[in-house]
Order: sequence, then C-alpha cells, then structure tokens
Amino acid sequence: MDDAIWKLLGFILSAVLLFAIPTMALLERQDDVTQSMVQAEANRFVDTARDMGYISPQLYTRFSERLQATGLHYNIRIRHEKRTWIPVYDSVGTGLVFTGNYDQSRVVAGEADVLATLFPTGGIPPDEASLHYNMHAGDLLFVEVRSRGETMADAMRRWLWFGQGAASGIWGRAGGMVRNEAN
Amino acid sequence: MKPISLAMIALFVFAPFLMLAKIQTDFLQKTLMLRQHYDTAIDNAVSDAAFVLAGSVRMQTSDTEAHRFEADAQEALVAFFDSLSNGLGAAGDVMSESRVRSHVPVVLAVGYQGLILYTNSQYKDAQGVVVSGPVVFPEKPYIWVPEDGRKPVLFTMGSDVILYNDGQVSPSSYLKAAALYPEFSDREQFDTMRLSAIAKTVRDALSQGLSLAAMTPDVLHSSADGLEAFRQGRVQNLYRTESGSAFLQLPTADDAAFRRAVSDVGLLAFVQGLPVGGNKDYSTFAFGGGRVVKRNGVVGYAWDSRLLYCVEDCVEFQKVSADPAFDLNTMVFFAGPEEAALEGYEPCPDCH
Repeated sequence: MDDAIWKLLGFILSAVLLFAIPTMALLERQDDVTQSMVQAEANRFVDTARDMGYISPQLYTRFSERLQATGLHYNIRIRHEKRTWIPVYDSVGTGLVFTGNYDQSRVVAGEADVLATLFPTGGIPPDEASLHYNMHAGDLLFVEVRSRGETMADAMRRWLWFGQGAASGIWGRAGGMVRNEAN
Repeated sequence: MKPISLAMIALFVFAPFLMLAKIQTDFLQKTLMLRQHYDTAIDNAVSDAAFVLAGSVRMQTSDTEAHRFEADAQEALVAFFDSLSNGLGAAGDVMSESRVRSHVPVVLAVGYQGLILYTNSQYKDAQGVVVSGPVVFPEKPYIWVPEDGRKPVLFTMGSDVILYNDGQVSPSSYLKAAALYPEFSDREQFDTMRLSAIAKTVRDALSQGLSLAAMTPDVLHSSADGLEAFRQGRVQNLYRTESGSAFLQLPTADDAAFRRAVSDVGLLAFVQGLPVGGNKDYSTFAFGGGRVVKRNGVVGYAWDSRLLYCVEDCVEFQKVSADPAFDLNTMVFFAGPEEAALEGYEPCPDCH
C-alpha cells in the first residue's frame, strides 16, 4: 500500500517537474516577449502620432493588428489632453480690461472620441484627411494597452497554485507631448 | 532505499531553494520593469518640458523676453508634471497627481542666461500655518564674480556675456568683453569659466532646492545658513513624500559629466522616493533626456569693403579681428547663417 502511494506521489511529482514546470517557464518567457512587444508597439504608435500631429485610421488599424498578432485581446485606452490658452479679462465698469495674464484650460478626449473620428458611422467621406484625428503641438497624447482576460501563463500559474496565482496580464503605456501639427 | 525515494528526498530538500530563487527572480524582474517604466515616464516628461523651453534659446534683450523665459519656464513645469502624471497613470485623479508631485522635490528650468528653481517644500503662510506646496523662485543668473574686485559678469549658454557698466547691464560678445576681462581672449578659457559658472549656479540652486524640500520651516528658520547646514549634513535631509519618505542626496555625477549636462537649455528634474517594492525606492536625477541642442550663432563683420559672416572660432576671423585696421564696431551677432544672409552678409570662404 505504502509502495503504491510512493509511486503515485512520484508520478505526480515527475509530471509536474518534467512537464508543468518547463511549460510554465516557456509560457512565462512568452509573456515577457509579448510584454516587450506590446510596449514597443505602444511606443511606435504614439511616437508616430506625436511626430505627425494626427492619428490616421491606417496607423490605428496597423497598431491594433500588430497587437492582435500576439494572440491576445487588448483594451486600448487613448488619452488626448488638448490645451487652450485663454486671456484673462477683468470687468471694469461696463467694459473688460485685459489683465496681462492667461489661463490654461485642458480638455481630455478619450478613445471613443478618437475612434468616432477615425471610423465614422455615416459612411466614408470623400477626402481621407477628414478621417484624421488632428492634434496640436503642445497637446499630450498617451496610450495604455491592457490585455483582456488571462494569458496562458496566468492560467497555468492558477492551475499549478490551485487557483491562488494572481493574473498579471500584459500591459504597456506610452506617450508624451505632440511635437507637430498636421495643418 | 529505492531510487525514487532518494529522488523525492532530494526534491524536498532542493524545492524550497528553487522556489525562493524563482520568487526572487520574479521580484527583480518586476522591479526592473517598474524602474524602466519610471525612467521612460521621467525622460519623456523632461523631454516634453524641454520642448516648451526650446523657445527660450536666445539672448533676452528686453524685459519682455526675460518675462517670456519665466512664462516659458512656468509652462515647462506644467508640461513636465502633466506628462509625468500621465506617464505614471495618475492623470485625472487629484490625489494621485498630488502624490506624483510629492516625489519631485526640485526642478530646475535652465535657460539661456539664468535658471528658475522650483521646489516642493513646506512653508508658513501669512497666517503662520505650515503648508506644503510648490514654490517657484525668480530667475538666477549665471554669475561670475572676479576675485580682484572687478565688476561681476553674467554668462550665457552662448558666447554672449552681460556686463555691468555704471549701474547698467549691457549685452556684449566675449571678444568685446575681453578688453575688460583679458581671460576671455582665449575661447577655450572663456568656455571653461562659463561652464564652471553655470555648473556652480545649477549645483547651488539644486542644493538650495533640496535643502528647502527636506527641511521643515522651523529647522529652516532656526538655521543661520540652511544651505550650508544641508551640505554638511547637519540637518536631517529626510524628504517626506505622500507615500513615505526619502533621503535627499546631491547628484554624485563628476564635474566633467555635470558640466556637459548643463551646457544647454533644458530642464533638470530630481525625482525621489518612487516605490519599487521590497521597502526600496527609486530616485533619479534626470537631465540627459531634456536637453535642447542649441545652434551656434555666427558673427557678421565688415572687412575689405565686404560684409562677411563666420563662426566665431574661424581662423580667418581670428586673424582679421586681430588686425589693427579691423573695426570692432562693425561686428554683429546673428542666430544663424540664414539671418546673416538676410541682412546681406556673405559666408566666409574659410568656415562656410
């Protein structure tokens, strides 16, 4: 009886050691490569858009396709912080007097605004330029990519640790100031 | 004992070590990723702020332009913190943005002829209540005070200097100033003195900012010379951030590297105490990414009935300007060859 338990334990351990651990290491390595790739793609997308001063449908589609090529699904969040400078006037009597100062206001547009411009629902307009999401020099553009669900390594980790492994997922963020203007 | 039993005993002995090694490796990898993430966010923020400051790469010949540098520096600070907050995923949340700010005790906007210090410090307001918040100081010039009693000279990032003359300040080229300050006649020596003065101003402003950020108002007011006390380590240099505290340190870059880093307009940011796990924190002193490459100007002059422009190091120009027949009053400085050509100056055949 004892012998049978030892044999069963030995079998389970050898299965874990010979199969599960190397597979886990391989999947973790795959996650590392995917992580680097996602970060590189996020950098490439946002740097191109910042240099051009606009996001084109082609640029976004290419970015999205390259992410999909990793075999995972992603949530792409875009944050475009528009800046405007508004002179400050004081009301004196019935008129307005310029104070010599200005205020800076910031309006944030998200991925919904960007996608509505890139892929309009009411048919494709005749000129391609109207599909561009234009930005101004000095605006901020950031993109954050996060994988949906768990990766294979996450699933394997969860299985090996009996449901205790935390899903890390794939994640990348890139961005900065827009350097050029389209027009 | 059966081989399988031996293998299992060996496994039970080694498994904890292997697990520990795995946990440690994972932790190091996560820390490395976090550090790279911080590096990217800080470098981007510094670079964005320098982009805003790029408009200030010139001599301020009027009060309006001096005011403009201050306005540009304010804009650059706003751009730096906006970009940093976005880069660290804190944008849009007031508490998170405030936490990010609390990790940046000192920022220096290094301009063409002076720098502006920003520090996040505690101070007493008009009601005597201790508050914590950003403090921006007026522009500090790159000043050099000769030891022999001659009047001080203000250096710039270029070859211009600003001289004091009968209570007036007047911009001049270093070659013209060489009449009063013979040490400027050698370009190499002039550059060494200039960079040394700029580096000293930057280092002093940095340590002043750090000492202000580290000290509570009571310590600051009880210390006769807060800056000196900080340098000598007589005051506690513990800077409290919203998520803990960090020890402030002056940059340890050697002088040569420091001088190279401050040889152009840009923004220096000092980031302290960002958490990276394992009771460790991340501190950096970012100036490399934010530098703006400054164009070298050209000097225009009249010689042999012709209007010419040269780079100031041009051998031909050095020879001509040393000639007794050369009229110093014909010398004009331009931002670049295009500007000189627009004024009718021809390129010197030797250097252009």
